[in-house]
This record gives sequence, C-alpha cells and structure tokens, in this order.
Amino acid sequence: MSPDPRVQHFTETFERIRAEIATFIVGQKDTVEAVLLSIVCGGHVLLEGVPGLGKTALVNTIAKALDLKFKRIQFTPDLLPADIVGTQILIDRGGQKVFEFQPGPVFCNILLADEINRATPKTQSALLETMQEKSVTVANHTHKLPPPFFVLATQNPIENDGTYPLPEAQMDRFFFKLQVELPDHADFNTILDRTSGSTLPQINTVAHGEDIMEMGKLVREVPIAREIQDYLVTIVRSTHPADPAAPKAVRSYVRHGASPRAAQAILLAARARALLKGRFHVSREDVNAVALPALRHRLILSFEGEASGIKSDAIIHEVIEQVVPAVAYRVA
Amino acid sequence: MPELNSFISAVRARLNRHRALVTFLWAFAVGAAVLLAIAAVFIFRGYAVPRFWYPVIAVAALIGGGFAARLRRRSEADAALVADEHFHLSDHVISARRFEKEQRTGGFYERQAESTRQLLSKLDPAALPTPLPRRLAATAGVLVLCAALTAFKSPSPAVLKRLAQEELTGQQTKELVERLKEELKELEKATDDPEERKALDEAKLKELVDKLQATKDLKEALREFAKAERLLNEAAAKLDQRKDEHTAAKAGEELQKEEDPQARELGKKLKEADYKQAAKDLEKLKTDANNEKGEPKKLSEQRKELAKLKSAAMRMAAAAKSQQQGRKDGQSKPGQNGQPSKSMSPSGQDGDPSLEDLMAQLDQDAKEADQSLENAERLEKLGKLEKSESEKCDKNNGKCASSLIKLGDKLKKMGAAKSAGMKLAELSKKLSQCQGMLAGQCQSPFAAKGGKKPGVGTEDSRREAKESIVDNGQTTQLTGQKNGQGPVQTQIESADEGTGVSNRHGEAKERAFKKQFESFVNREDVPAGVKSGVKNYFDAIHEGAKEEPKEEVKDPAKP
Repeated sequence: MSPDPRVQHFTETFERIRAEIATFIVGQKDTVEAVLLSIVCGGHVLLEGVPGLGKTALVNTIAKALDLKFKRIQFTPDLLPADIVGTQILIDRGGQKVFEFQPGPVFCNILLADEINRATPKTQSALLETMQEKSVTVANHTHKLPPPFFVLATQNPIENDGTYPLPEAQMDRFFFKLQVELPDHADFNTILDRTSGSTLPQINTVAHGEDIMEMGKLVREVPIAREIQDYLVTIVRSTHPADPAAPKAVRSYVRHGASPRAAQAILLAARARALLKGRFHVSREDVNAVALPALRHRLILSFEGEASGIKSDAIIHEVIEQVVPAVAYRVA
Repeated sequence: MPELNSFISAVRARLNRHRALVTFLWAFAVGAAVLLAIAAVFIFRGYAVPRFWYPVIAVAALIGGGFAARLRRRSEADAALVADEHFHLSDHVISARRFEKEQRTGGFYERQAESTRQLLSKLDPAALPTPLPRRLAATAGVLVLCAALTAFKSPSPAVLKRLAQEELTGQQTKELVERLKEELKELEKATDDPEERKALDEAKLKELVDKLQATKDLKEALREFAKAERLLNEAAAKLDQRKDEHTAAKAGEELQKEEDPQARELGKKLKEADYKQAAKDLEKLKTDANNEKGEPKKLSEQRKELAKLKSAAMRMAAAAKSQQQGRKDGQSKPGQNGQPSKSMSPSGQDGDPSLEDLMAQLDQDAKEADQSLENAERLEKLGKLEKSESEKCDKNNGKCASSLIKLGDKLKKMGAAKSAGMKLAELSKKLSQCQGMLAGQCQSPFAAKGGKKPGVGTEDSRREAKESIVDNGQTTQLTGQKNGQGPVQTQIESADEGTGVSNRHGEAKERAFKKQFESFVNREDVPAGVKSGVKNYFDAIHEGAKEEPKEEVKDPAKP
C-alpha cells in the first residue's frame, strides 16, 4: 500500500517545524512536541516555569517558524480587558464623528500571554471568550479572530506576590499545561554557546497557517477503538473522588476531577501523537503520554491535598497505574 | 482479516491451555487440601480414612477443575489485549479487531489493518510464554502426596477393637435372633395342648422375636433384648395363678389326709402342682349311675362311691375356705400386710370362676347328691321310691359330675398356664442370657451343653506358675493403732470418801460371799456336818488365794 500523502505531509511538516525550533531552543524536546501537538489540535497552552527557562523564546520561535501573526501581551496588574481585546474609539470620518473598533492584540494567530497570572481576574476573564469561541465581542459586535488562533500563556510558579491565580474556568480552557524544566548540563552549555555570540540563530518559516489547519483536520480522522476510548474515559472519570474506580489518592486529595473537555483534549492529542508515531489508530500509549499535560491543570485539589503539598502529576500517575489493570480485566 | 483472527485464536488457545493447567493445579491442590482435612477428622478420631473419599475427591477435583477451566476461558478480546501487551504492538490487535468487528473500511481503517497485518506476519503466537506456575505445582504435588499418604494410615488399636466389637455384636445378634426364631419354632412344635397354645399366644411371641434385628450397636442390641425380655415377663406375669396354686396345694395337703388312695393320689398331684395329672385323677372320683355292664348301680353302691367324692370335695372345700378366710384376714389388716398382691391371679374376677369357688361348688353339689341318694335309698327301703326322686338323684348326680368336670377343666387350664408360664420364663431367661452374652459376661444360651474333656478344654488357658497380683484399686490397707493410743482397758475406781470400804467389784463380791457363808452357817435347819463342810470349803478357798502370791515370790522358777 502506498503511503498516504496527507499523513506524509503531516509528519514531514511536524518534523520540519520541530527541527527548525530546535535550531534555537535547546533541549525541551517533550515541551516542544507538546506545544506543537497542541497547536496542531487547535488548543491553547499554559507554560509554567521559573523565569529564564526560555518560555517566551519558545513561543517566539514557534511563531517565526510557522509564519503566523504573533502578538505578545505582558500581563500586569493594571492591564485592562480593553487593552487585550480592543476598544471603540471616536474618530473623524469625513467630518463625521463615529465610533470605530480598534482591535486589540488578541487579533493575531499566536498570542503570547506572558505572565498571565499577574493580571487581575477581570482582565484574565477577557480571554475566556477569545480562547473558547475564538472571537471578541465589543459593544455588541462580535469580531472573529483570524484562524488559526492559539494562546500560549506563561506563568511563574514561585512568585506569588501580586499574582492572581487563574480561575478554574480559565484553566480548563487550556489544552495543555506544560512544566518547563531546567535544562541539563549539556543543554546549558549549548544554550550558552548559541546565545552568547554576536549573532543569534536565524529562524526560518517552515510552515504556514494553512498547513497547521490541514494537519488539524487530518488529526481528527484518526480512528480510535472502543476499548481504547473506554480506557480514556475511565482515566478521566477516575480523577473524580466520587467515582468507584478512583484511587485512594484521588479520594483523599482531589476536590474536583477533570471535565469532559479534558477527555476531548486527551483524545485529540492522542490522535495527533498516533499520527506522529506513524500509527493509524490511537493506542493506550498515546493516551498515557498526553494525559499528564491535559489533566494536571484540571484537577482541583482539596484542602488536604494542598496542605500536604501533593502534586497533581503524582495523582495522575497513580490514576494511570491503577486504571490499566482494571481496564484489562474488564476487557477480558 | 484472517491473519488477525488466526493470530488471536492461536494466542487464545495458548492462553486457555495455560489457564486450564493452572486451574487444574488449583483444583488438585484444593481437592487434596479438602481430602487432608477429611482425613485429619478421621485420623484424629482414630479411624482409617474411608477409601471411597479418594476417588470421590479425585473425580470432584477433575469435574470442578474442568468446570472452572471452562468458566475461566480467555475471551478473544482478552487474547488480543495479551497479544498487544506481550508483543508490544501498541494496541494494533485490539484496534484492528474492533474496527473489523464494526466493519469500518477505507481511509485510516484500511491502513491500520494493513499495518497490523504486516506486524502480525512477523510474529509467532508460540513465542507467547506460558510458564508453569512452579510454586503452585509444587504445593499441589505436596498436598496430593500428603493426601495419598493418609490412605496408608491404619486405625488405632482402640478403634480396631471397637470395630471388631461391632462386627462381633453384629454376628452375635444375628445368630441370636436366628436361634431365638428356631427356639420359637421348637416351642410351637412342642406345645400340643390347645389351652397351652392359647396361653402362650404364639402370634405375639413370633411378632416379638421378629422385631429383634441384628445390629452392630451393642447398646441398641442390649436395649432390644431387654425390651423383649420385659415383654415376655409381662406376658408371663399375666399367666400368674399363685392364688389358685396355693389353694390347690392346700387342697392337696388336705386330700393327702384321706383314707382313699385315689384321693390321696389326687392330693399328691395337687401338692406337686401336676395339674394335668390331677385333673385325670379327679375324673376317677366321678361316680357313675351304671356299672361296667351298663346296668344301673344300686343306690347304696352309688352312695358309697359318692362318699369318696364327697369326702374329697369336702376337704378341698375346707382347704379353699381356709385359704379364702386367710386371705380375707390379710386384706382386713392393711396396716400389717399392706395392699393385696397385685400379681395375684385375676381368675374369678373376669368371669372365669376361681378354684376356690369350683371346689366349694363341688362340695355343695356332692352334698346335695349325697342327700338325694340318701333320701332315695331310704325311700327305696320303704318301697316308696318314686320316679321323681330318682330323677332328682340323677339330676343332682349330673350336677355333681358337671362341677367335677369344671374343676377338672380348671385344673387342666392351670396346668396349661403353668406350663406356658414356665416356657415363657425359660424364653425370658434365654433373652436375659443373650444380653449377658452380648455384654461378654456369659456364653450363648444356645451353646451346646457340656464341655470338653478334662485336660483338653483348659489346654490354652493354663494358669501360670506365678501369677502377679494386679492392683485393681480396691485394696484396703489395714492399719492398727499405735502402742498406747488404743482404748484403755483398765478402770480406776475411787473409793468412797471416809468409809474405808472399797467399792471395787471384786471386794463387793467377796463381801457378798462372806455374808452368804455366815448366814448359811448360822442357819438352824442346816446339819452341822454340812455347815462344817461349807466352812472348810470357804476357808480352803481363802487360804489358797492368800498362799498363791507367796509361792510365786518364794520360787518363781516353779510352774
């Protein structure tokens, strides 16, 4: 059987983008892949990490490699919603004063919401419609954002003064939440080598918005067997403390589990990952691989969980470990 | 997709074989454990494990194992999952199977099927490992071996003894029941007298013996035999006729005082309680109006013959009356004799006239017959004998004869009842002996009488030259009293204060003798020679008593 040109285009484009990003971003392979998967699937990403790990640089690089319209908003406490979505301004048009909509920075393809948790909740809420509906409503007029549209937000986990934690509704709208880790010794050296010289590596455009949209369409065609889907649903349901299949950690430390939107995100990301791995079906490996970034920001810990310093990642790992044999038995 | 189906089938078959093996190992382990538990119950109670448990448990383990293996068979989905996991197929098999089942074709489905086919073509289902669960196999083997070893455990000596005892009891009861049945048959054959048969109530006896069953339970056997014995005793008690027997014996004593040899013979038989013979002897006392030639006897002859009967009847009636009177006296003093004996015969109370009544009746009838004969004889001498008087004589004679027959019948009945009672008592005794035999206290009541010849029968059971005395726990140690701790035999008496006269018994007697002597000597009516003789006698006694200690002191060597 001859290879499917669309699949071939998918993998080639994906690898091209990844390779181009790798010319500037050192290491962070998993993070880069997850961001790209999220972009292919049309989802937004929340990057969390201490300052200086290259979160903003990663977003900038991706924007350049994709030849997409890129905007950056530095979130501050005094930032207003209008500063993001745009506002009506009074202008003189042929001697007639009229209000005209002045688009905000969200009218782009890739929006970098830097240090998103520094803005007030009111300003953060301005992004809700933008992220979910991919449109902006100002003065009773809804303005569609140009496709594709992705929000790549960053936040600093260690600075709590002057920050406003993102509300659950806002968090749920992020496709993935990625933890940007400190690079290892070799990567550190490479970063220094690349960035301490007189010139920085040039990022070339290797894909366009149409490519990304085409890839997104292809991803949704990847089939999934009922057994694997059952497995996925079981994992998501097991994050709820009231579920009979929930492990002890969930029952003890989780106040509220993941929503169906989380299951959608996992399924979509797993499909994209399957294609990336050269398979034409979703496997449990794909589900397990994308479950962590898709679920970690959707689990709301209880007081006991917060007080005990339990991490969502540990709970999700326990859920996956427990669900595997249970599903195997049920399938049998 | 045939490749997929054949691959899944091969994996499934392999998994099922392995699971069946594990299931059977579990079944054998569980079966052996159950068998061990059962064996432990028997062995701790001292029994050998019954053999039938081994095949039963083995078959149950096989059937249960087969049933469980069938229930635990792996499904195709299960096999697909195992194949994916073992061969690291990234859920190719599960997905392909599902898509095929849902008949999804075209696009990605076809490409997925193709990629799966390519992957499976390189794989061999036989590479799926099905390791033998060594620990389980070893456990099952050890348990089965242990369970098999219990088959060789013999029962304890106590249990063997008990089993032998049960077997022996079974044989003995079977033999005893058979012998009792034979005994009953012989009893039936030996009983010719219908009265005796009636008294024995053979049907009831047969029912009683038929109820006895051979059993291995000694207590049950003893209970059954004891019950039969009690019933026989009750039946024998019903035949009790001691009152009539006492009356008959008393009558016999009285009759033995008669001059007539026939009456004496009758008395002897009654005394000996030979009632059948007594009945025959009684018949001989019957008077007949005609002689041997059929001619009518003279009235004087008839009266002479009747006189014998009359005399005998009178004695019997007197004895009966005396017996009756004695019993009435006894009953009238309940404070002395208590209640009348309940075991006394009920005869005379339920329509059957008592012996006393019959004897009294015979006496009365004999007297009447004699009176009528006397009148007839007197009238005949006067030549005035009329037909009516003759008829009266005949009538009274007949009445007397009838009483005689009734008395004879009563004696026959008594004889039959006595015989039946003896037989029942004999049978009851045998039943009692049967119980003794079952309890190991005596030999079978049906054992042949007599023993072996001298020197033969005791050959195997000779007493040893020295037989150690076995302490049976009933010995009593006799202990005496230590010296000085026994009761005092001497008595110290205190003299009366100030009188100077000892009140010791010996001195008092001496004073009494002295007073007698003095009074005798002072009597005037006693001759002087006698007085001097008595004086010398007492003096000699006193002198002897005074000299004895002196002689002992002087010459202690003399005897």
